[in-house]
This record gives sequence, structure tokens and C-alpha cells, in this order.
Amino acid sequence: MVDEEDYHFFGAPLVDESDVQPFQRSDPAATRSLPLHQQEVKDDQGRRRFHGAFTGGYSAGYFNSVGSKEGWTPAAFSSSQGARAGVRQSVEQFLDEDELEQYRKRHLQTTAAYDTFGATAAEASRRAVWEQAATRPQAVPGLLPEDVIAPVADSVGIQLLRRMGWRQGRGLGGRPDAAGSRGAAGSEVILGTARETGAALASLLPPAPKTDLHGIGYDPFRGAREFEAAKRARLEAGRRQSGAAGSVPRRHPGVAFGTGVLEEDDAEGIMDDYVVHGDVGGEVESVNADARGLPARRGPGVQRVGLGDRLLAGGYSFEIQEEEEDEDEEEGRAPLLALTGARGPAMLTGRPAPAAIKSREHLAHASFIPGFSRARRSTVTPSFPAPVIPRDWVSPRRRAKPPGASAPLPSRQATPALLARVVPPSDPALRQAIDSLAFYVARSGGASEDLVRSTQVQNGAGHSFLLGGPGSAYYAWKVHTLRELMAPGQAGRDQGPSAGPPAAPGRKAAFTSAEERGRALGETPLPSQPGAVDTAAVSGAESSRGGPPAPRRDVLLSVAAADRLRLAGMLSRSFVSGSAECGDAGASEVPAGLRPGAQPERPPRSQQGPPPAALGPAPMPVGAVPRAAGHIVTAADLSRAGGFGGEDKHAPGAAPRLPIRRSKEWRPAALLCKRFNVPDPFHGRPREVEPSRFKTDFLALPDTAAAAVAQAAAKLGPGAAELLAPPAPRGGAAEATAVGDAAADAELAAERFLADLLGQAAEPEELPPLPPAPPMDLFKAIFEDDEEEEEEEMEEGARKPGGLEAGGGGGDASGVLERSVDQGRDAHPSGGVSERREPQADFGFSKLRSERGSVRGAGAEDSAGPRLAEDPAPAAGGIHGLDPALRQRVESTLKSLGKRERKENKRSKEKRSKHHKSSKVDRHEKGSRSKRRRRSRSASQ
Amino acid sequence: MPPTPLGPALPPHLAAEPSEHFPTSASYELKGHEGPVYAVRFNSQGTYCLSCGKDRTLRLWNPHTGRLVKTYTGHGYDVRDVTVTKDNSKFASCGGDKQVFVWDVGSGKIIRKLRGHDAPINAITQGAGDEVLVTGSYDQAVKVWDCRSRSFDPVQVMTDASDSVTSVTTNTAGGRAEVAAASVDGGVRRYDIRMGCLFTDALHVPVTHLAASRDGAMLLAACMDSCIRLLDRAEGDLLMEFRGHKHASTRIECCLSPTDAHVFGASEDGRVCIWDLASGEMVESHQAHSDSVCSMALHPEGSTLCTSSVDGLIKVWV
Repeated sequence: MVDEEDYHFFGAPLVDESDVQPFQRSDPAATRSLPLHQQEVKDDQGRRRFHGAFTGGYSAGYFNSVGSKEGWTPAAFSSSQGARAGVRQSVEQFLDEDELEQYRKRHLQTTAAYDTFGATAAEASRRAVWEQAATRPQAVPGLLPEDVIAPVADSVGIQLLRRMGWRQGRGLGGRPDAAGSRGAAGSEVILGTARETGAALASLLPPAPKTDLHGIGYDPFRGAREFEAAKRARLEAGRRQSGAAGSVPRRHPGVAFGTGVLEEDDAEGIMDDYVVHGDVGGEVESVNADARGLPARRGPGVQRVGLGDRLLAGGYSFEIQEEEEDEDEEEGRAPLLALTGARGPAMLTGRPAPAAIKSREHLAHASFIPGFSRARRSTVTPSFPAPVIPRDWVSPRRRAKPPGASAPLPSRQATPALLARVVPPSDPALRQAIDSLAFYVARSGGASEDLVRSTQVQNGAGHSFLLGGPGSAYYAWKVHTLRELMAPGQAGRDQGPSAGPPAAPGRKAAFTSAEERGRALGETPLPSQPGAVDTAAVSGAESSRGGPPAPRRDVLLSVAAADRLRLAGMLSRSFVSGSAECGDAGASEVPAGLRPGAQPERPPRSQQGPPPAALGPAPMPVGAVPRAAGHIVTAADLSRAGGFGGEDKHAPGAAPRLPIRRSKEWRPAALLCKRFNVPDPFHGRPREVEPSRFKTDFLALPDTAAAAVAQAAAKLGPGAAELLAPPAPRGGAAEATAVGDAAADAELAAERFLADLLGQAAEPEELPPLPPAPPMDLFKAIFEDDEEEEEEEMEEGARKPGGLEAGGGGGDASGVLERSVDQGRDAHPSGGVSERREPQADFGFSKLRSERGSVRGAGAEDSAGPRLAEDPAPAAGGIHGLDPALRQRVESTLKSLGKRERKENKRSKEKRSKHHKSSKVDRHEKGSRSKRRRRSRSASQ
Repeated sequence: MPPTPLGPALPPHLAAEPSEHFPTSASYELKGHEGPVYAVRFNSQGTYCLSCGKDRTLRLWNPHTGRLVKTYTGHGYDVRDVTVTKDNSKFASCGGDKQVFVWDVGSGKIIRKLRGHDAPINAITQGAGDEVLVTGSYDQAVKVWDCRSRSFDPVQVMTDASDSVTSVTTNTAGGRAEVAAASVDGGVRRYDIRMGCLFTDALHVPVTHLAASRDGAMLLAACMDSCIRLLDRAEGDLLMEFRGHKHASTRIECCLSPTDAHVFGASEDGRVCIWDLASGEMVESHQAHSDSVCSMALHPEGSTLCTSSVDGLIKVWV
């Protein structure tokens, strides 16, 4: 025990290093809050290490100082006291490194990128070019732009030399010794020195000066070098002649490619380069004064015959002058050019060349253009008229129409007015033939008539009335009347072939619509409207044709409406069918969109509470178009409904449609809550995991299966419910078989529908034969009690000692209990369940299940199926009697059905309890469930 | 001495007396747009207004002097709606480009483009103090975009509507945090962020515009059966129906006066109608345009009304 005051401390106390962190790793947020000039980045020692890019970057110098670890050493001091004059200072001593670099650049030195000719060489060459240019006539007046004559950096020769090992600065030839070279410096050719390579080479290299008006780099003779030679020859000739005549020749303006046909002239001579002046030479002056002293025609006249003709006839040779100009020298067309390469006398019309050009040509080449020689004679290609097709010629490809067929065909020209009075032909055989063919044509369209007519044309047998022979009028009338008679049955299909012009047998008259195509292929439209496919929907058109294959329709009809709705709703997530757009598909929310005939939203069926209109028939919305099953919305309906927008929907007497409120849970994103500055309502609560579902879950048909079971139970008569309602392990073989058959039927239907959906036609005979085994335990395996049921059973079981037992006893107890619960519920005077019972239009399973309790007494046939399904009745070997693969499939499918049904069941139970409490929708669902339990418990007691 | 009204006191700038003067006399015609002007919006202070239209431009006007301040070009398709931030530094527009353009007001440059909708965007609004943008599109989705981060993805996507979303509005009055959207499917959907709940009021007719009252307790929905419906926010009850105008085929707008005493509605025959909120009677109606009135914006103090029309004109009424 030493008192602390006994100690005396000297000096500053040591501080624990971990405590000294005032500057440590300053919080970025805190730093950011400071004003800009105080924001400093520090390392974890709290030191400032970063100095910015312009002051040395990270950790400048030695610990942020200049110098080194050894410190900064000043230059050695030497006193100049004694030798003042000895101190020499130069500029370099006061210059920085980069300044020194600049300073030294003033002196001559080599650069990294060696310039072959150097700046002086370029300058010299430029000057040389300018001198040249001054002596030369130019199209572009003045000096050439420098860019045009930029010296070539590496000529081909230099490149070649370099490839051969030559280096810049070395001479050519053998290496001379020092003495020799010094002695004979002038005689040896040294390439690569500044003097020799510079101006000397550069003067050779500048390109030919630009004397034309083309764009820089444009070569008019590209791909046609002969013309270049011709032009050069012409220029030479002109120069020579001008030297002789002493006057500058005027270029004859020519016509060229690209000049408009009707263009008068090419005054600038831009197109001169392209033109082969077939008939004019440099000496031909076109400025001829006429009598009045005006220039008659300055440019070349263009024959206005048509460019195509001349190109064809002249082979790109052009007539330069007009006809009237040279009528004095005209002496008929003479050959001008011939292709010597082709040898053939492909003569070109033209005029004889003037003497001057002839002489020039003979002077320069033997021919006008190298490769061409002058033709000697001209040939005119005669044109023959097209052969006359004999009248009786029949095309092998297409059958010519017989002379009679040019008139409108009898059946097609038929109009009711014309056909008012037609006398049948006297010949009974002919009449019968006409009648039978007319019936056939009326039924199957005009194509068959074409077919018959073509056979008639080919072998000329029998049906002459088709080609306007005797009886044609009667035939037309017959066809028309028969069509009229068949119209209701044919309305749809007759429009296709016979409304338009007659279609050739193999050809399509018009684009087929989706319906036509579907009919042709025997498709059945997807049942997106409930009842649309039922009885009346299959129109007479289909029935007249025999309709699609029967099993398909049977499959579709045997699917329960609820399933159909569910499937349509599910598929409408991806696809929108045409009828779904009208708002009747199984979508839970019917859009009241901007569509003609849009149907306003129906009250929600089973969303959050009982629909307000559930107590009575739903009020027909005023703007709604009345829809029967398969009713097609017509313009009349629309007008009745008050137009597109439904402007006058508030007609007198119409009940106002009140808004309907629904609510559901919606999870706002966490960031959204943050931005709106509200706490996340779902904070900490994990997102509900959507159980992964298989495709077969969606495609399963629970309602169909249930309905089939129910029907089977109903077949057994009124006593069946009594037999089946309690869990009956004693259940006789008869019931079991019946129920088994029903289940098998449902399964079959499901299977077929599934296959149908997948596009595989389900062949009934392919299915394995179902053994007549009682599948009671199948249901048991599937619908065995889940957690919820267990929960309830646990509750009941807790009250009843030993109540929860395995096997039939337990099931018995729960069944009895449930029944009593339901009875108790029914006993409630205000119990909404019995009130809510409505006539069941469809055999929706969910409804059925939700109203199971109340219906129990009355509608035994309804309750039997689900009742059965829930009965945990053990039966030996029922499921094992099935084919194993099928069994597995059935099991998995029905298991998923069972799960969903239980879920629905649960939901509907909650809804029911809510309805008991109030008609308003409330979101608190949990309390109601427990309340229901409590109530049911008391009721059962 | 009039009896003191019940309820909370009015805001100070309104406490003087609710003016019974309606903006019915035309002061300026703002010409410049070629083609229909789809939307006209005041800034939050009411000093300037922005308009947008089918000519792919946005124009900034001073409606109090009738001058065009600036024209903003950059949209490749028609511009359908615009919203201005509270600090007037930026505004966001949307339209046929399927993306939201955020503009700098001064420089006229596009700062951001928010992509994500699959169809033309019909409506845009700002919420939570300019921190989010809410858009409603023809692709049946309502999307919320964050303006504070540089994220280009929407914060949230609401795809509950089954038809084109025509109007969106946010409601933060009284501590609420809500986004409301109107759709052609006849639904007015209110997304309550605080409760985490979606309330759907099915009105059975297409709704083209939605406006919240100042206190946020009521929603005004312009429905296409020529009726403007006043809905109770909390219960979804139909409080009042305002009729007498024409609204059957185009998207037109409605708004509430700043005192929530009157309802302003546009009409397809070119009129502007004013109803008394409590009685539902039309108290005023005047011919504003020769053609359908597309959009209207009321000055925050209710003194000035801007209307835009299919004929390409914006008119200022005082």
C-alpha cells in the first residue's frame, strides 16, 4: 500500500500511443465539413503526407522537406577574396534544368526523328517549285498552297536504300579512306548529307503542278489510262501547233459524262479530260461567226436524240456538234471507230474525222486511241418486230383462257337483279349436273369452280355451262341462291375466297387473317372468355365444316371454368388475347381502358372482402356493353353504350358507381423510405419468400379434378354424401370405384389439357389403361393433414384427452368436430356464410371449399369431393395399383393442387370470419383468425 | 363579425381573406410552341412557368411579363410533362423518349438521363423535397428515381396498374409520405410509404389527372366520363363529383385552388370551369381556348392561371 503522493514525477509523463490519435485517420465526413482550405488529408500518424500534384506529390522530399536523409548540403564554399577575377560565371549556372534544355536547343543538334531533307531542303524545294510555277501556265493563278508541295518524308528510293542497309549520312558506294575522301570530296556522290539530299532531291519530288480544276488528288484518268495518253498527245499536238501558228489554241469544249443532256455547253472545259473528241481536233474552232457577226455557237451542240441511243450506238463516243452546223461537210455517216481488240466490225457511226486530226493520229499512233483502229464501214443493226403469237397457242406454264372465258364468268357476274328470273334448262341431266356443281361450289367456294372449269377447258367434257354454254345463267342463279341459303353457316369462310376476285387454284387471293388460318388448320381459339367455347360459341361455320377434331374440343370443354380463368389469367401475364382486351378474361382486375366496348371494373371477386354488390345481382353498368357468351361487340352495342368514352354514362335512373377501395401490402424500398424520411414499415421483417413453383403447378387443374370428383359423388345419389361425408374406412367398393373413376377422369382431362397446351395432341389410346383400383389412400397421401390442420387438431386434441390419434380415429374426431363447428356457424342468425351462398354458375373449387360447411347439409354432391379429399381414410394399396410412372405424376400434380387448395381454404376462412365482424375491409387479419377459433371452440362445446 | 372558422388556422399568407376573385381575364398569350402544348407548370414560387409540347421543346416563360426566357431543346420526341425543383436550379422532363431528362435551368444542358421505362412517360413529379422523381408511363409502371445519388436505376418500380399511368403525384403534407398514381384502368393507387400499404380506389373510368389538396386529405381525379371526382384520402369515399365540362377523349387536367375552396378543371371544348368544392356547383366558366385545354397551372397564391391548349397557345389569366 504505497500512497501515490510519496512518488514524485519529473518530466512529462509518457503517453500511451494508442491514446494519441487526435489527427489519426480523420473522419472523411468531419474533414468534408471543414472549409475547403482546411481540408487536409493525413496519414494514420496524423501527418500531412499529401501535397498535391504540383508540389511534389505524395510525401515530398525527405519527410516533407527538401534534401536527403543526410540533410541538405550547400555547395562547397570557396572564398573569392583572393582571386576575384578568377570567378567565371556563365548563364548556365543560373538556369534550371528545363531552362538549360531550352537554352541548349539553340545549337545545332540531331533530333530523334530525322528529317530527311530538313527544313532548309523543304524551303529550297519550295522555292524551286515557285520558280517553276512562274514559268508555267497555270489554271490556278498565283502560288500553289504549301500543302500541295509538302516534301515527301521518305521517298521510295530512300526506303529501298534503307532496306539494303544504308544509313542516313552514309554515302553510296565503297567507303573511301579519309585521305581520299578529303582529296576528292567534290567528285564523289555522297547521298544523305544535308546538302546532297536536300534541295537536289526535293526539286525532283514535288508533284506535277495542278493545272486543272479537279479536287486535289483526284485523278480523272483513273482506270482509263488510254485517255490520259490521248490527252497528252492532244496537248503535245496543240503545243506543237501553237508553236507553229504562234497563237494559243483554244480548247474545244466537250461534252462529257455527267454533263446534262440538255446542257448547252461546258464553257470552262471542266469535263475536257473525259472526252474523246472523235471529230474535232485542237484546231477546230467552234467560235464561228454567223452572218450577223454573233457567235453562232460557242459550245458543242448536243444532239437531242436521247442519250441512251447515242451511248448505245456510239459506244461512248459523242456527237459534239449540231447537225445544221456541219451540213455543208456532211456526206453521210461514216464509220469512226472500231474496236480492234474485238476484231469484229462493231462500227460506230460518226462523221469522218477532219484531216488535221487524221494526220495527227497517223503521226502519233497508228490509231486514234491505242488499241482502237478506225473502222472502214458501218453496219446498222436491223431491228425485227416481235413475233406474232398464234392465237391458238397455249402456254405450257399457264393455261390460256379460252375465248369464251374472257367474258365474266357466270357465277361471278351473278347479281340478284340479273338473277331474278331464270328458267332451268330443259335437259334434266344438265340440270342435275348444274345443281350438284352449284351446291358444291356454294358450299366450298369459288376455288372448286375454277378447278372444274380448268378440267372443262382441258378435256372439254360435261360442264360447258361454266364457259357460258347453255344453262350458265341457271347455274349462276343456283350458285347465288345456294350461297344465300348457306350464308349464315358460311358467313365467315365464304368471305375469304369468294368475296375478292377469283383466286387461281394455287394462289392466294389475299392475306389470310388469323381466324382464317386458325380455321384452316383446325385450331380452336383459346377459351379466354368463360362460356365462349361452351355451347353456342362454336359457330355454325365450324359445325358446317365438321369442326375441329372432337377430342380437342372435349378436352377444352371438360376443363372447369375456374381453371380456364386461372390459366387465362396466368397466360395473360405474357400474352394478351384479343378477347381479354375486352375485359372479360380471368384477370383479377378488369381494366376500364380506352377501348371500344370496354367493360368497367367488376367488383372484386374474392380479394379483400365480400363485394358490396354480392347481396344482390350486380348492377349493370350503364356504359357497359351487354355481353352474352360469345357475344361480339358491334357498333350498335357501342352506340347503345354511349360511345367510346361513355360520355353520357350518368343517365337518369342509373345507380352511381361508387369507388371501390382495396388495400394490400406494399413494400417500399428502403431507400425510398429514407428519402421520404419515414421509417421503413417493414424494417426487420424478412421479405415473404415466394415458394418456388413448378410449371405443373400453374397448369394443374384443381377445379376440374374436384368437379369431376363431385360429379362422380353426385352420380351415386343422395345417400352418397351420407356415406362419404364421415371418414369411412368402411367405404364400400362401389363408392371407392366411383370416386376412383372420377379422379382418373379428372386426371385424364388434366393430362390431355396439359398435352394440348404443350401442343402435343394427346392420344387417348396412348394413355395406359387405368386399373380400377380405389385410390382412397392416394387422396390420403396427398391431402394428408398439413400444419394448419394439425394445429387445429392439436387444439381440439388438447381439450379432448387422447383425441389425437393416428388412423381413422383421429380423422373421425376431427371430422365430427369440424362438422359441429360448421353447424354452429350456421346457427348464427347473422352468419354471412349461408347468406352469401349464391347459385353456382361454375364449379369453382375455391368457392366450393369456402362454403363447404354451410353447404354440407343441402348440397351433398358439392361437398362430397373435397370432403373426401380431406378424409384421412386409410385404404390399403389403392395408389399402388396404379402404373408407377403415372402414379408419380398424378401424385406430384395433385399434391401441388392440394397445397394450394389448403391455402385458399385458409384464406377463405379468414375472409369469412371477417365478414362476420363487419362488412368493411380491414387489414388486420390475424386477430380475426384467432377470434374465429375461439368462437368455433365455444360452438363445438 | 363573422364567426371564427373551425379548424387549424390558415397559413399566414392566406390568412387575410380568401379572395373570391377568379383568374378569368386574359393577360398574356405566350406564343412560341408549334403544336399542342402538353403541360404548363409553375415553379414553386410562381415566378416563372415552364411549358412543353409536341414540338419537342421546353420553354421557360415569365408569365407576369409575357416573355419567353429560354427554350430548351434536346428531346427527340414529344415532351409530355415537366417538373421544377424547389430551388429552381433544375427541372426534369419526360415524354416520348422513354427517359427522364434532368436539365440545368441556367445553361440549358441536360445533366442526366434516366432510362428504364419501356414506353413513353406520361407524367413526372418530384417528391420528398426534390430528392426523388416519380414517373408514370404508358408501360403501366410507376417508377421512383433517386436524385441524390448518381444511380441510374429506379429506387422502386410499382407495376400494379393494368393500363397506362397518366398522372402521378406525391403527398407529403401533414407528415404523410405517399405517392399516388392515376391510370387508364380506372384506378387511383395510393402508395403509402409510411404504412407500407397500397390503396387502390377503383373509379371504373379512366383517370387522366390527379391532384392532391393542400392539406393532402383529398385527392382530385379527372375522369374521362366528364366528371372530376373528389376522393377522401383516408377512406376512399367519393366526396363530390364535379360535372359540366367535357372530358371524354383527351388527357386534360384539373387542380385545386390554394385555399382548397375551388376546383379548376379544363374542358375539351376549350373552357376552364371553376366549381365550388363544398357545394359542387360550377361558379365560373369561361372560354379560354378554341381547342381542348391540355394543361393548366395555378399560381401558388391562386392569383394567376396558366392554361395551355392543343392550338399551341399558352394563356395567362389573372
